[in-house]
Amino acid sequence: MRAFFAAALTTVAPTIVGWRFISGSQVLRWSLGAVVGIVLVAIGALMGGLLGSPLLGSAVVLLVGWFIGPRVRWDPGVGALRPGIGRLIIALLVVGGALMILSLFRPVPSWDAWFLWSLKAKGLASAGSFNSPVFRSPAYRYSSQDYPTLLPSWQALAYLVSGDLQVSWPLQFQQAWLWTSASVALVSLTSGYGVLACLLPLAWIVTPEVVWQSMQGYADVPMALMLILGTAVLWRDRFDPRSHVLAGVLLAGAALTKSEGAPLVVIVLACLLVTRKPSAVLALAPAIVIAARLPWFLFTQAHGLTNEMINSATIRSLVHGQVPMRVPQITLTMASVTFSPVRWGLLVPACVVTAVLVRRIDARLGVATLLAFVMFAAVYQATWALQGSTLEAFVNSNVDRVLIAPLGVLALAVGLTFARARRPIASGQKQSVPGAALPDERDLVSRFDEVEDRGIP
Amino acid sequence: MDGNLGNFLPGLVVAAVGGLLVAALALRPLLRRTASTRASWVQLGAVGVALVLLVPTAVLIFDQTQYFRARGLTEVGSAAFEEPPVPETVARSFQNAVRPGESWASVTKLGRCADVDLYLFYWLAFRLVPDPPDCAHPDVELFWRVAPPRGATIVARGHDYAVVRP
Repeated sequence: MRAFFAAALTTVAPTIVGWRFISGSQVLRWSLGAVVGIVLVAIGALMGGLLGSPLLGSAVVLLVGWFIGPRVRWDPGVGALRPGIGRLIIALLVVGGALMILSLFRPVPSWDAWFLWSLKAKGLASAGSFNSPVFRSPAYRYSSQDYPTLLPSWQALAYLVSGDLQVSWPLQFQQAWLWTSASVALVSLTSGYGVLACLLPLAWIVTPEVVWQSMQGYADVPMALMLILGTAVLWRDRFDPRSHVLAGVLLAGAALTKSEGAPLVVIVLACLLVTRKPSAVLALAPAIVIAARLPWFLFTQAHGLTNEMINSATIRSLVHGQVPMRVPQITLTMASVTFSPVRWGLLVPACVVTAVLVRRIDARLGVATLLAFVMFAAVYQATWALQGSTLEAFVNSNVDRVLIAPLGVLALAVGLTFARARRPIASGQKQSVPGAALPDERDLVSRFDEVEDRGIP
Repeated sequence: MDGNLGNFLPGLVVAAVGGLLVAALALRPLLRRTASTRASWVQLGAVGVALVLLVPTAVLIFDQTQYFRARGLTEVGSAAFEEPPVPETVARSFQNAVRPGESWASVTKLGRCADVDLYLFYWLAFRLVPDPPDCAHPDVELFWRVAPPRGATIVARGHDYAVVRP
């Protein structure tokens, strides 16, 4: 019974608090609010873990969030759901519901879950702080003790509330809840920008790879979901301080979930915020990310926890050409995985063909996608040089998972070219849709959106 | 994920037919409204294929869940559709033998804390938190498919295993 309470408390309570951060349609408020609430409660547990009480930390953050939420409430300005989108939302809820029911019968399932993530959740829950041997003892060095711990902190709450370290299904329920909330949020948010703007992001989030990995206990999907939602929020409203706060929270979640989360967040922030006219508001989201990421970074530095996978010696040897470059092989392997229909359906071909047909891609997100792929290729090169294992075997062992986030950014980059005009900037002036002179295809799409708008009260 | 896909192929094909139905139902209103350009057809095609594949993926997750249940795994799973490193009875017996605060180690034919890719060691490490592994001076050891040393205190034993205090 306590396990049911643990599963419900760690998902429903943050959803209720997160709801207060969003305005607009109830579907968007509950779904995007759920993800925001989860990030907040997990950050609270992480900070609480650093200070000696994850439960108290998360309770304090939820309480503060309850009062602050309405003051920073973000209005995405997307109104009610457009016709046809309701069915998609129902389909996502049915699938999410099925995953949640399955989660009741599933333990922590796969290798990295017990090797890394949920191991840390158990360690945090058993000691009540990060002073657990799991984080400090050399005996657990194999588990990369410096990895960011947002997911384990959230999971630790379920262990703490259930009071039983041998009951692990609530952790699976949490992940099913997160996927369901995030998928509904992504579709309702992007469809508010224009019906066609939601199709490629939807095609990304329901691909076999994302759905399968979301239930394996790994951190890749949670990190990607927070990154993509934060990106979509920031892309919409680059001049509204409230959107920066919300995007900052979501991107902080991504930066605290996996090691590669922080560089991906830096890429997205740099691509979306770089401008010839800097203003104070542009510093909000980066400041939130840094403030959230800093305590864990300081903890790892204070206790000498380092992954040691990529260090200055490795980088020096790469720069000086002492290690043969294998970029062509890495690129080919990454490309072959992204085009695999069993994993990704038609996502990547559809993105490429659509971009060619409409002769557009959102420039900022397009650059972000490219940089994300380059970053992963560089990491593969460096880790291969360090490990000395067969490159293809090493890349193939995890490339399917690590490309989840970059492919999400690609889906946004192409999908959002179909979005209508962004929100007015402070002066009331409209920021133009990418491309003032629309090609034929885009013209038709815009006319469709106008007709749709007139049909919606 | 697709390593043992062949075993599940017939079921997955049936599930894909179900996925086709889901895709048709979910996308029908959008097909009427948005399928006016080549680009929208391409995007709808991508969503349709993803929705068709969604049902087989859910079936695969169901199969994985059944796989865990059939082996009595409620605390931790096993590597993708592979047998757990030791049966559940052995793991429970070892968990019961390790007292709070004690250290432990696993011993296989390859040696202490050594295994083919350390599957058993890592798997047990998750189960035994907060009791830490200690490969040099463990308080309790699990001997899996190897005989324990003579004179060791055996606290539990069964087919293929012995739990020992050195």
